[in-house]
Amino acid sequence: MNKRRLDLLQGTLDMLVLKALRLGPEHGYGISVLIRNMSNEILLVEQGSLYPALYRLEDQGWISSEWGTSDNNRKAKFYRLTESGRKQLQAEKDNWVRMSAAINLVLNAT
Amino acid sequence: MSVLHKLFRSLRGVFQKRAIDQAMDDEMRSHIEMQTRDNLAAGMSPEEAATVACRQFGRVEAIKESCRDQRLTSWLENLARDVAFAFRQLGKNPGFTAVAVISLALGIAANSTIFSFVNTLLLSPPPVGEPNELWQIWRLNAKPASELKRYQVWSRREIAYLREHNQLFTGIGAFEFEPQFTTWNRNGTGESVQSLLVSGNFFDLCLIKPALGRFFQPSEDRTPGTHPVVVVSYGFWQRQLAADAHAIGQTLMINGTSLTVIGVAPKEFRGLVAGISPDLWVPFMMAPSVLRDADWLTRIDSHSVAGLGRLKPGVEMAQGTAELTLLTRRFEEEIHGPDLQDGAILTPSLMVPVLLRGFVRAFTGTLMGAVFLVLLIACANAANLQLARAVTRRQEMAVRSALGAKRGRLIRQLLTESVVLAALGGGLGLLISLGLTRLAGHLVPATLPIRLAVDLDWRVLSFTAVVSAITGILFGLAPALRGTRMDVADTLKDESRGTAAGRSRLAGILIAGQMALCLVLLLSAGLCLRSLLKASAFNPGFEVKERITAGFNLGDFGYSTAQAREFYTRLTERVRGLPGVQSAALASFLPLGTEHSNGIFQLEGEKPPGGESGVSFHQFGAGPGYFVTMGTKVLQGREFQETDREGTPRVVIINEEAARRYWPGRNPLGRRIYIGDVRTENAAEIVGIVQTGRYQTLGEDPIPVFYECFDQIDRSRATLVAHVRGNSQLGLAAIRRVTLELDPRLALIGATTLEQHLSLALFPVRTSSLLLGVLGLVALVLAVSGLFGVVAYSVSQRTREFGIRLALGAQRHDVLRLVLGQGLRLAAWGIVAGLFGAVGASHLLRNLLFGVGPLDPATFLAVPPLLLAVAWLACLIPALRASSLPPMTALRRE
Repeated sequence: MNKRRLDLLQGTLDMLVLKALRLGPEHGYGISVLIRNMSNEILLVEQGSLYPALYRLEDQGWISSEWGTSDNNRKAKFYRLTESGRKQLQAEKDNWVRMSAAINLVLNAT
Repeated sequence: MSVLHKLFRSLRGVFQKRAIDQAMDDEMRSHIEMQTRDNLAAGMSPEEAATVACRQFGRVEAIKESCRDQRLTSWLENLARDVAFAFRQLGKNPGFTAVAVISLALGIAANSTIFSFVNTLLLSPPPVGEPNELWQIWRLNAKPASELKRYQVWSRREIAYLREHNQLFTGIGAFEFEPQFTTWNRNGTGESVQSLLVSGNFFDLCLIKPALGRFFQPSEDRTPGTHPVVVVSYGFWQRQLAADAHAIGQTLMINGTSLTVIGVAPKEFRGLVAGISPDLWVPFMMAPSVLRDADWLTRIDSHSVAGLGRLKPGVEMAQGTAELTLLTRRFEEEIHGPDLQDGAILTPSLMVPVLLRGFVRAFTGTLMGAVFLVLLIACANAANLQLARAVTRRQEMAVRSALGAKRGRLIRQLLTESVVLAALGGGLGLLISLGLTRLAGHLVPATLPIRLAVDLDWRVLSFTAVVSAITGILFGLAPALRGTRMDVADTLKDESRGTAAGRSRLAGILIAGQMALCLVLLLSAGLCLRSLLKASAFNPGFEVKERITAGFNLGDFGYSTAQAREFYTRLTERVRGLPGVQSAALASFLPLGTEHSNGIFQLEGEKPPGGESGVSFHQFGAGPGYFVTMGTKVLQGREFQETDREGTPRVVIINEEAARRYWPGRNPLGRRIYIGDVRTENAAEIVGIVQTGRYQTLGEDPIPVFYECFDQIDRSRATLVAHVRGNSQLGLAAIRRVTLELDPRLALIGATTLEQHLSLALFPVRTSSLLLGVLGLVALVLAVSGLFGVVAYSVSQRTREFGIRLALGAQRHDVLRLVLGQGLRLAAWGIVAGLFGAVGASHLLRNLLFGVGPLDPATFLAVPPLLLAVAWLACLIPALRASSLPPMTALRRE
């Protein structure tokens, strides 16, 4: 297993969480697993940043939460993307695409 | 998430920390469990799986803590952002902000000012130690003639009896309810100072510490006249003793008795009764010497002191009341025989004692109502301004909402703006109110023994804060709801159409409401003003112009009866000889002042009607020439003469009311009244009848009165009145000079003109008409500026419509009429509604009115048209502007 870890860029965690929830409602553990899997095990989300981020996003009104049952019948708190969260994700994504394109241009310049 | 929901959640965050913690715990535990399960699936042993899961998760408490921080910070950040944004918005519209803040400041200032009075008078305990355990003790009259007489003061002997026989109190003390005007002989000249007689344990019961020196010791109030000591007030020490630390041990010559200053009361302690701030506190045992009244301590028929006590630990108030009631009845039985009615009652110590609370409560209640109306008008004004702004901000709102802002978020933003406005208004209002309370002290007439000190304390500050917050929500909510309710697409398409109708309906209701409230206040003010005019023009039964008066208290200086008579004879002779003095005479005291004397008397050869024990009279003493000097008409018989002296037959003069009531259809002249027991030497012959005047208050029903001849009664205290042509101040100075020539130790008490003297009787009606007048004016300015604003705004919105009308051939006066009609219709609706409100409000004012009914036709006919006329003027300016627009300009606009 590739254990090379990458620190998340400042401010990108929110975007990744929103993206993970774009696929459907998920609980905290599920989100961290999703991000790890989608990034080919490169991005490891620390729980110490994940949960504060979830509370922050909920207060912004971008995600909402409710208690439900996980696939193996355990009580878990599920988060769901809201309409304004969807817009926020789109905005951050556009931003990110432009930003990374610009950074690539700079780094690849000869 | 709605604002309320969010607010609720953050409140829950504060109050239900435990529940939220629990939820966080659950969530994290489920996370670790799932991690453990996956670890097991990856092939770890169960123990290893759990340990690794925990390690992977990290420190639970630290994570929880940062979650909590996250939540609080985001709430505070939002709030800070909203407040900053609100300030930016308000800064963009300085005109709007200024008008709204000033409106609110006026409304809030009025409320804070009146509340400061209520606070000082009705809510604050006196500045004593452990005020909640200090009880005031009153004599309870089980069958009072009026509610005001239910609570009574005690005689000194009754209090002494209670103090000696009670078991349940750690101490019982007493103080004279009213201060004595005493003369301080300061290096040869007299100065009038207020002395309050108190029991020796008075300060100990108050649990206060002297600012300097010490208070009385128990031994200093046991034996009459042996311990000449005095405690001075902090103010007296500052003003008159130059704040000198060596003042302790000095002697003050008070009424010819020298008293040693032993202490200075603390600065905040001005006594236990609002409005009465004595200069000196003198122990009871010194009263016989200071007042030259040997029987003062033992007299049982003179009720003048209020009781004060602290209960022993664990004793209930009801037990204390029961014990004192029992003792009161036992004392009464020893003196007068069995009496099972009267008793004692304990009341909490407050600055307005229970026996005056009814009046004060009614008065301040009326004012609180009035200032609340002003606040409502101010709120309506601010709401209308917000509404007008909401329309111009519709596009901003639409854009923000299109960008994803929730309605709740927008409402919260608008409400924050309102609350910021209200807070600014509250701050300014507090400053205004600070100035007003300082000013209010000057309303009290000089003749009243009252020095009013109103303080701003935490109660007033929190009242103002709460009123401001409620105000902000009150005037902000409707415009915020209205301003954020919209169809985004519609608004973005064309922002000049559509919602004007909805807005103007709400604005119209607000304007009509303002007008209604304004009318209620103006009518109330009008009624009070009419009473004041009536009262001022009213004939009190004597002339007021060109009359001056001054009081003397010779008893204070040890004059014997004969010496006093000699002094007064020489005084009146000298005053009559002064230039400009038409006549001068003596009296015991003047009507419509603070002093009164009344009782039940027997008439010679008459049976009192209906089983009564006698007939009631108010008594006055008058010297020769009194009625001429006062300008009171003698209707029958004669006035007192120099020949009515001690030794000649006793004579009295009655007023017309007494003649009408007690000798209906007969001639009272030559008949006799027993002044005292039914004995020949107490019989006084009626020699004259004078016109009925006003004696206690200007609004009273006629009172039967008799005047005794001043020269035939033993009076060491007297009031001189003189009829003086020319400058009355010069006249008063001349009388002062003559007095000092006769006895340099003397001080004139309450030397003033009769006009000033009457200010006492006019005090209630003058104060209420002044206050309501000012409030009415403020209300008028607010309401009319509100009307002006709304009409002007609607004109600016309808410019294109007017242009079309004019282009299609409408005349200018048609447009004028259109605009005026719109404004006046609102005003008229408000006035009609206001009339109904005013009928109710004026009934509440009934007790303050004098000579006019609560539905006084003149006021009710004059004020509404006046308000309508002012409203017409307010609408005229925008109407003229609308009608004078060139049609093409109007059409091109927008």
